[in-house]
Amino acid sequence: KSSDRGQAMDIEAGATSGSLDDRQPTVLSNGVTISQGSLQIEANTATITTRGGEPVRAILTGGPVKLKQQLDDGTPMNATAGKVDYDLTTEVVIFTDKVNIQQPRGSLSGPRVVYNMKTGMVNSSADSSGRVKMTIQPKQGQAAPAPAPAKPAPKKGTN
Amino acid sequence: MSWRSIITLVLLAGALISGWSVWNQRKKDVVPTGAIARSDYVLIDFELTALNPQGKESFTLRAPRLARDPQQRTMDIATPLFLIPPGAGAGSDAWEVRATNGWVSPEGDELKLRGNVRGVSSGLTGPATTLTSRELNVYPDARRASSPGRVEVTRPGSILSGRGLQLDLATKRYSFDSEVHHRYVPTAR
Repeated sequence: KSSDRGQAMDIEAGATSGSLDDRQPTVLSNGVTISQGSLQIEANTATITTRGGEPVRAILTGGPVKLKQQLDDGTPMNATAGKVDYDLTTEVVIFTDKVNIQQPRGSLSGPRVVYNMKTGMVNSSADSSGRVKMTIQPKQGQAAPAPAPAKPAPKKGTN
Repeated sequence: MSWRSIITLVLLAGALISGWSVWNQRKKDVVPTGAIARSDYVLIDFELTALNPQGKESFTLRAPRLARDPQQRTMDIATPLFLIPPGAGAGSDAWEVRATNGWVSPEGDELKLRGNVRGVSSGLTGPATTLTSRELNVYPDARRASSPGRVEVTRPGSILSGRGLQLDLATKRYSFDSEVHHRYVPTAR
């Protein structure tokens, strides 16, 4: 949700190291979970860069990284990827390495996907390691188009 | 001999034995505790500045009471306030550290703080930082602090807690080795 960004971010981990000012990023390991409003992330490690004491970027790696979020229209978005690079200032998330994004309206998989949390825009690109695959579900209640009616047989003697 | 007199004899014997053991115990308690508990000097309401081998201030200590143990050459302090000056390196803050009890090693190179430990950095070179715990070991000359227990570190907009703290007071680099929880609260935009 777009309101997630204004909420407190809670991070749990097995171990961490960093510095009490912004000079060094904070490295978290041994199982990391991040929650911020409806956003939930699970990863093996996370490297968080801060500016003025606030997190501005989070790079997560996992086996895979799992990201869940509820969109503004209430529908859920689930994503998995080998690596996630989350820019908290622009709210753009770059998924790489076996990316798979599932939403009720469809799914998207590929080697690299860029997801704008503000606008909901998704941009994916293929590369040598794989192609992009997208599946769009039909709208609810819209039946599959009926087959075209058979043509009536022509009457005798008429032209 | 009737059963009534047998019972009386048994009770009498029981009373004698317990009386003897109480008497015996009383003798042991009286043994003087000896010289170990006696301090060779006690300071009341004092300020002490410890110097490192180079003659520079290692830390300043203020407290209402200090007792020195001549055997161990250690010092026990009541409600100490340690003032640790900034280190040589740039970007190094001064720290004020309080606790319920303090212990100083013979060479003054290790401070053990126990009970309501609270450290506050001066915030000269970055956001002021507050550190709270039940136990903290400080090594002023090495400008290092560590704690086996749970520590909470609070800075504007963030609360970090965990177990097994290692903190470099000069570079402010830290690590926790378990139970890490970090909360960032976004400042109003």
